[in-house]
Amino acid sequence: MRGSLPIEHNALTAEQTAALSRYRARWAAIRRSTAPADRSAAEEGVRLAYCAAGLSPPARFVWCESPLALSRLAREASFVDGGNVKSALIERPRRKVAAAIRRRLHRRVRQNVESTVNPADALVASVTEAVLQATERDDVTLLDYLRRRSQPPSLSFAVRTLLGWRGLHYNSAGPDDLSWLGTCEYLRNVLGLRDETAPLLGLWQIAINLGWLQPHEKTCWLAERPALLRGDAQDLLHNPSGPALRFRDGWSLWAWKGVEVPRWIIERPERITLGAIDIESNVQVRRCMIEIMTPDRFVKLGGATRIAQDETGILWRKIWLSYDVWAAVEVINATPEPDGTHKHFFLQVPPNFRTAREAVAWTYGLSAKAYSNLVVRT
Amino acid sequence: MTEIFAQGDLLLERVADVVPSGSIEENLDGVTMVLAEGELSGHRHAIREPVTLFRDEKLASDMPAGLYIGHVKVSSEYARVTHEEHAPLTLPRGTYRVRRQRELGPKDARVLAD
Repeated sequence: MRGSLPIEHNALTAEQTAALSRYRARWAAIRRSTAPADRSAAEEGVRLAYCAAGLSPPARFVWCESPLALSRLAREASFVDGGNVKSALIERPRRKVAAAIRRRLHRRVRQNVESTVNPADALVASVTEAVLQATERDDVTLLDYLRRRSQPPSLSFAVRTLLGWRGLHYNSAGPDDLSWLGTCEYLRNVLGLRDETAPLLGLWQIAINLGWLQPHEKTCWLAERPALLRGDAQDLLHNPSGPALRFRDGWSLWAWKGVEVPRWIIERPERITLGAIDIESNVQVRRCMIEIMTPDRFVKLGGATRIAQDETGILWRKIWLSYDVWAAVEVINATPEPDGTHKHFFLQVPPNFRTAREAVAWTYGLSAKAYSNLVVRT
Repeated sequence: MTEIFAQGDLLLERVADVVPSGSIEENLDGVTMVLAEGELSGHRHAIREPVTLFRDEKLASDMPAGLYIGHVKVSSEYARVTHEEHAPLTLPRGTYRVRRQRELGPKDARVLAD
């Protein structure tokens, strides 16, 4: 009978369309916020969300300064804390509200609102990825746990560990997991879908006021947001002069164009030498080292071999024994600088080119033959 | 033969005239139309002559993802693309498909074989 239910919103008015960008900006700011959590408002939101899910509010709140600290504390959860209720608290209301919205809103409108208010956010996704990787590195196996503790683990801990359902990914929610709430807030406030979105009142308050949460029946672990978050123009985690991500307990990550790198590479770049680049085994970190040293200096120090040269530029290549190959084409600005010199640039390219022309053509997505139709370059 | 014009990290190929489709923008004579802006420098590839800039992904299906900027239709005798660091580029009347330059980043690095 779903098809016969009234679909009230077939199209957005001009005013409703204008509101989309306001909600998009509001939720981008919420996801990327580095403000301290409003702890009492967040706890109130948790109580509301538990009640909406038909659960008793948790007896205990445990605040953590970072998701890594949360992960360390919450992995010690025992039967006293009760089982994890993330699904009942977040996933079930989400499905219920989505079903109610589907009955009231045309699919086209729904998709438009979702894609506009809650677009993919690469920066926040990279924070989630970095946090998950760090907590996984930090995680203990069931055997480690048994070695370290005299008490047996809870049944839930043992089962979830054996099934691989442990860690933040399965048990917690952060800014990335909660950003869908922005779409629902728009639908409630702008399109008036109040009854349909009523189960989300607590979740909104959570998303707006904290970073991460791991909800269990009796205990809810809550974590602060980052104190610092920096990205580049492509929304990759990036800071050329310090940590790209730092939490209030000091836990920090250093990143270059989305690649997590050791601290010294960012803060002591003068220590990057050809030898240090050669012994780095992570090929992505190696690329970062070359970029920070600058390809110009890498080439001048003899780091790469000249493969070919033509009127478009010079093709450079370096092959390491581990089958890692770096290639770049050095191009020269056709227009001179005010002092008469010409700026040189290095563009990193795939390693399989034989000529500089092929490499330069690739940078524009062209074949060397198509690029030969160049009439003028300035 | 497709004529190609390049100004720094911007490349324009002359294509057959088509009716503008997708998202369409027009500028008044003397009002700057920005084709692309440098992320760090803020330098801009811009045109001040009246042109139509339109963007229709269907017209760029043969191009690697992420490079397509749009099409520029020059209806007057010519239009000049200016940039702070490059000499101006003069485009005769016609339609041009505009793309940006790309390079590999650290996250693209892969070991070829093991």
